[in-house]
Amino acid sequence: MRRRTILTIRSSPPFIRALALFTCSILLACDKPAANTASLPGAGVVAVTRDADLLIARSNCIACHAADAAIVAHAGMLPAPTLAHIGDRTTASWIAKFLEGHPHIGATGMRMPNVLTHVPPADVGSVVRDLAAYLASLHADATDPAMESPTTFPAQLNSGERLFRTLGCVGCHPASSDQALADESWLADKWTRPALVEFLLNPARVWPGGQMPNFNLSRDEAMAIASYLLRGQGRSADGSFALTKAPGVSVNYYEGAFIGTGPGPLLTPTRMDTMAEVDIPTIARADAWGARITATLTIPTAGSWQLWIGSDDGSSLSLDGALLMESPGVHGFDWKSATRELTAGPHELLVTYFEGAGNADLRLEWMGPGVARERIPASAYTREAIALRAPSKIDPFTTDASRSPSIPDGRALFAKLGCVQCHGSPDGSSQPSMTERTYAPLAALDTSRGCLAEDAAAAHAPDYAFTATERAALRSRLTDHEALAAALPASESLALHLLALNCTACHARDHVGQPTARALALFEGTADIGEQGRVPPTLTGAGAKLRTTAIDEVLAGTGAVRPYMLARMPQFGRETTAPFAALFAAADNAPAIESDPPMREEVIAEGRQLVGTEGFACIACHGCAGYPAAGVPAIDLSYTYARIRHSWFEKYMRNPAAIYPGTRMPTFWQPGQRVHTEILAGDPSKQIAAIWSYLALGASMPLPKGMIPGSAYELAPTIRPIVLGTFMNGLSARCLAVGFADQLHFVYDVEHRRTAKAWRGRFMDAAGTWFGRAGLLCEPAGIDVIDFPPGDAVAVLDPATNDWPVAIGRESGWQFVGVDRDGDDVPTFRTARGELEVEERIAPAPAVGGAHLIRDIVIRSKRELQGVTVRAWVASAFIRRDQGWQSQGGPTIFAKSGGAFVRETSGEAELLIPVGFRTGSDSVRPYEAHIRLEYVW
Amino acid sequence: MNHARATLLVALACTRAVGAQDEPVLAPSTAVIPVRFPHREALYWTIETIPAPKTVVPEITGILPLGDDRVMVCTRRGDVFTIAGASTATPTWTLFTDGLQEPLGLAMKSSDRFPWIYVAQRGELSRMLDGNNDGRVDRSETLCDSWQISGNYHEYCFGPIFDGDGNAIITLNIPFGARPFGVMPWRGWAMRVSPDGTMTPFAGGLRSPSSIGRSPAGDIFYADNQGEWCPMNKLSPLTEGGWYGHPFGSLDAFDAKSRVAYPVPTVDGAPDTLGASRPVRPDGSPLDYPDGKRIMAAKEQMPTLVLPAVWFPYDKMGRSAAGFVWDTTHGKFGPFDGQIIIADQYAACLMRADLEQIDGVWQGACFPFRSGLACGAIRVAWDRDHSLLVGETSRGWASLGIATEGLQRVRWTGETPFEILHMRAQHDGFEIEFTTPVDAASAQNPQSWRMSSFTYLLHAPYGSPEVDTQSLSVQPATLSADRRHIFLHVDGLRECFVHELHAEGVRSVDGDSLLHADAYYTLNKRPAK
Repeated sequence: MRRRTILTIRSSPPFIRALALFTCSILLACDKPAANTASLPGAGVVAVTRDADLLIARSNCIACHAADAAIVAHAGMLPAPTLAHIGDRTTASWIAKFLEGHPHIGATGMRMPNVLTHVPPADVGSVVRDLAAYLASLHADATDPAMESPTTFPAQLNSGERLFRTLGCVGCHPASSDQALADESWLADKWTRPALVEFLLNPARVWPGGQMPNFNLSRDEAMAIASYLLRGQGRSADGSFALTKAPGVSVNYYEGAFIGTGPGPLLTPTRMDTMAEVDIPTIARADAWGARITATLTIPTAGSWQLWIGSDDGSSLSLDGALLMESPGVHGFDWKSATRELTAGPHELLVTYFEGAGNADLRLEWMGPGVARERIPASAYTREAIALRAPSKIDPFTTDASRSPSIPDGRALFAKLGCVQCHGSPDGSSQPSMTERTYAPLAALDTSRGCLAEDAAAAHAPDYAFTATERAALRSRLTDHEALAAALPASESLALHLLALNCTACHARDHVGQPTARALALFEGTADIGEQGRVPPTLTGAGAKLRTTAIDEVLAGTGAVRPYMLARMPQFGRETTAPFAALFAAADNAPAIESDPPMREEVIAEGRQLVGTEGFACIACHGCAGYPAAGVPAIDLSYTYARIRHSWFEKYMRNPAAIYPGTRMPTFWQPGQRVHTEILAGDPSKQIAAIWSYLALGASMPLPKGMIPGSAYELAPTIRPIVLGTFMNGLSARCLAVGFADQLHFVYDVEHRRTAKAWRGRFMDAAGTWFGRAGLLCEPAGIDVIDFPPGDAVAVLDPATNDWPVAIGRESGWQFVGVDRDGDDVPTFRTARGELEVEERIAPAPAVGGAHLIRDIVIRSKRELQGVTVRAWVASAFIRRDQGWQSQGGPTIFAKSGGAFVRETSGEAELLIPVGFRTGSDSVRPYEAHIRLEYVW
Repeated sequence: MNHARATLLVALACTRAVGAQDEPVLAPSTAVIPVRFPHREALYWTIETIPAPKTVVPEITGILPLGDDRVMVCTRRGDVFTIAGASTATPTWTLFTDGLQEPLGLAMKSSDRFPWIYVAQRGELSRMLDGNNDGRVDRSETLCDSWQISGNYHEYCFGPIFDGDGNAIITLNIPFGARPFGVMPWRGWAMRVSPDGTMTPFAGGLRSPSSIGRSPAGDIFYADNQGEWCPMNKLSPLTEGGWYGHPFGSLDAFDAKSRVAYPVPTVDGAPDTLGASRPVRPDGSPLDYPDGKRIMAAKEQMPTLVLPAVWFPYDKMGRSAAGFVWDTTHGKFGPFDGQIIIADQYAACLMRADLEQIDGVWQGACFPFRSGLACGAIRVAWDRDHSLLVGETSRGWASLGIATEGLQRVRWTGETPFEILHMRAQHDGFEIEFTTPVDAASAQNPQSWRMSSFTYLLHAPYGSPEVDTQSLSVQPATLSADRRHIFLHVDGLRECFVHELHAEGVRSVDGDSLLHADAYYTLNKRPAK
């Protein structure tokens, strides 16, 4: 089947060939099940129904032929791309070329039928032109899209190529050198770079079914990939890149702490950019970064030239590959100079530079024959550039054709030809469906006619170019009505879903498929842990390994745990992947919800000991709560409990190689042997249970022995809490960050008199405050960061219907009174306003899945004020859950004092606790109230 | 970056402006920076390092001796430690508290009932108490945070010291470099904070007022660091209503809380209609603010400009004048009783200043004192045994020395070096007093002495060159009977000029050369006949 299909494609027009080769490959998807299921009992039948179900989904049969939900559920929904604003993405001539090619296999293996079979051959040309003119008129801009002529540059193409190769694009788009030119010209004719960038950033706007998933690209990444894909627009007639010289210099910009003369050539830049002259890049942050700036420097006259480089901090200057001068290290602005005999004309310039902290400055000056010392003018710099010629948006048919194409006619044809059945109405208007005809339901088709006729074109039916094998499979499937309507077994339904989205292009799963040898060879990783560090994980048994919540997180893009793997797990859309977690569990015979043994607090200490260097030294390879491993970086142990089912953990711990042959994970317990007998008498079951109980603490696990903080400035609380006075990103310059040994931390913003953030895992790298002249913004080093709502935590709402005050901190009158530290050094923050004084104390409470945050607020007042209210949280909505309030996208909050209620305000909901005073012990402020809030997330 | 460029542009503009009105005469390029001989100085003052545990990075920014060989210190990282056995080989450092924001000074107040420790942090003046006596802070109170910080690293807060009425005095640094987080008021101001926390901005125009001190007689001085609008390191009396030269916060003078008038009076005393909305240059200085003027001319245009008691010429003395103390040891630290010992954060040295008042105006001389510290020094404090504790850090500003931070102790060996003890201005020369008798022939030989004088420019560029330098002829006159005093007749003394003296040829009766043969007298006021 594969061979025949390929032949069909090879004989198609080049653009169809290119499309087929470029896009997500149905070839691989259709081909593999047969190979992998051949050894199974009844495999032939399974393969045929699977092929048929996939074809039904990919041909979108149900767009015309109604089917009940059971059939739709077989492979999920694979809607056609939306054509809204297609005029922004491509041109009339490309659309016409596409339609005239009688497309059959579209992007991502979707079948695009030829619907022109009942148009008289003489009319096909004008029908296509009308359709193309109509579709090309669908663009967001009121005016005609402006011609744009973007440029790229060699480093950007290299970066785009590397991203394309390593992120996983090649799993579906198997670009290779012999196909490169066809891909190039096809894409070059279709897209403008801005349109392709927008598509890559948000593919679901075009493919709502997730056939092209979202890789969460940064705009720079999307720009690089789009430039690489559209490199055909930059080729000159002889196929070489038309390198031109553009004014200015190229800059590779790197974030990080550098020494000497700045970043070396082997680092991957944070960003690449161009600028007018050698200068501080506008994209540079204030501190801790470096740059490599390259340009061609044109020397106007031959002779003796003196060049100066002035920098704060270190820098170097090379000309034509030879180092001319260095100004190394952290220093104030300082000039260095060198004199050379230089020929007139171009010289290759390289400037390296880094900024530590404080002032940043970089200047080049020159002096030579007839030129007094001056800043090197921008006109002396040129850089390499490649101009991209965007496809012309001018409709060629308006001038060439005998009859100008008609947009209204095209619009009518779009409905009449049935395009609207799959693509919907692209201009948002309600269009009549194809004809007055009704279609037979899928389960009641005459499979000898219409699309399934031996010669669909001759039958004037939409022609899907089904092969004889495909047609036989479809007929067999569609005529066995009982089997068709029956629910598939979970394993088969999962296989279909995985194939439909081409998951097996990157992930192997037994009896479903696996990546091609070529894709396997291209995956890259940065950790030396064998294939597990490089190739996306196998899905064999994944349902028995991962909790359903973990699968949901991975699919939602929030569950990435392998930072060392360059391939990126993309998102296919929440709706598209909604059934996956349950299907995995059912397919691998696991319960939807794993029943864990209870965490046993009394063995946490032993678990911690076993994980550390006094035990099995798991930390040699695994990071803990964001702290890097001592050696190679395998998955962080703090993720274990949230991801892994206990039953799988137990099996894996006893014999890892039985589950992952070739894994680097050692087998700690040989059968019948006891190790570390000083811990729980060496009993493997007890030791595994202890490790499990320890790992159940999640990111708030106390660090095991031997864990070394990442940098010289990393703060790792061990026994007593650490308080750091610092300036944090997004908060004021006057923050007190508090870190606990239980690996739950928070920051109090003194300037705004409020608790601002809490997080788990690593506490903080103080380099921003403790390195150099300081003044860099610090960030939480850990994970699970929650942001408390901005504003005061306590307000007087009198009457109670008043809005929560907008003014915050000192603007709303709160004075910061000071900080108390108790016997354990836990801080209490004190504020006062008028008759009120407020104390706020936050401490962790260790718990399964990560410590909870306990927030105690004590309010004292000189009199029994009415309307005193605590605001615990603000969210778009709250759900009542287990006596608590689960906030949308935030923590669940348990108010230990009664009366908490949710108040809806404009577009927001506030969780409020009214304060009821009792008599306290303070003589100045005798009215007192205690509010205890527990935050769980 | 942008700021630096703006400064450069302004600098260029100013240079032109200066050139147009009055071409400055730069110092001769042959000016020689005297070489120091720490091994020779060590015969008289020794330096010991107080060891810190490996877990402590002793970037010492505040020193508070507590008695019983205990010393409290604070660090740039925000920790406060109590060091027990501070003079022993194995002192113990105990954390008193953490979590302060770059504290730069510690103090106690004699009138307090409880042992509150006062500390100046970036964003607040606070006081801390170990109420249960377990060695750790239990309560810390914010006395005042009526100023705000934007987040620029240079927004330091120095102090506190206490005046005779129990008010705390602090000084607020101006920001430096890029200011991506905006500009806050009261930068470059000295504040008085009353015991109830009320803040009074009582002096302005400070640049980097790195320390404040109160003399035994109760006069308050502060040290400032050269840079833009502060031509040279200086030590100045800090007085109510005084203006100190940096225009960054000058428009804050129009705020009702200010006790300082805007420093540039209107022409003929006309009403100031512009106030805080007057136009400014790119660096933020008001257009009517004098730029590029010599010190005397600047003083003429800004009558409230307070002339420094001492300028510390660049590199000849140091580069960043910092903490200072008066020698109150009554001879237990050497012969310089009543004089000022002041640290330098670049040169890893201690300098000496000897002040006098002429017609109510402070002025005096500075001398090298002791070089060879491990690192740039920022704080000095007397321990109870009359040794001098020195807190050091060079982080962010490269300094001389072998370390990047530390706590050291300087002791007098009991030997008196041959030094200039005093340099006092007279109407037509200077009276020089030596620590020991001099050899008459060498002292009375005019070839033994050299003098020149120069002044500085108040302008936007970073620091000022020495301008209008002139050599002066020195005629040694009468030597006193005890051979320790000599009058030098000098023609052409100029007010508002630094008078640089070299006495390499002078020998003691034992034939010694001076330990330090150079001195720099800031002559603000020429004494009457």
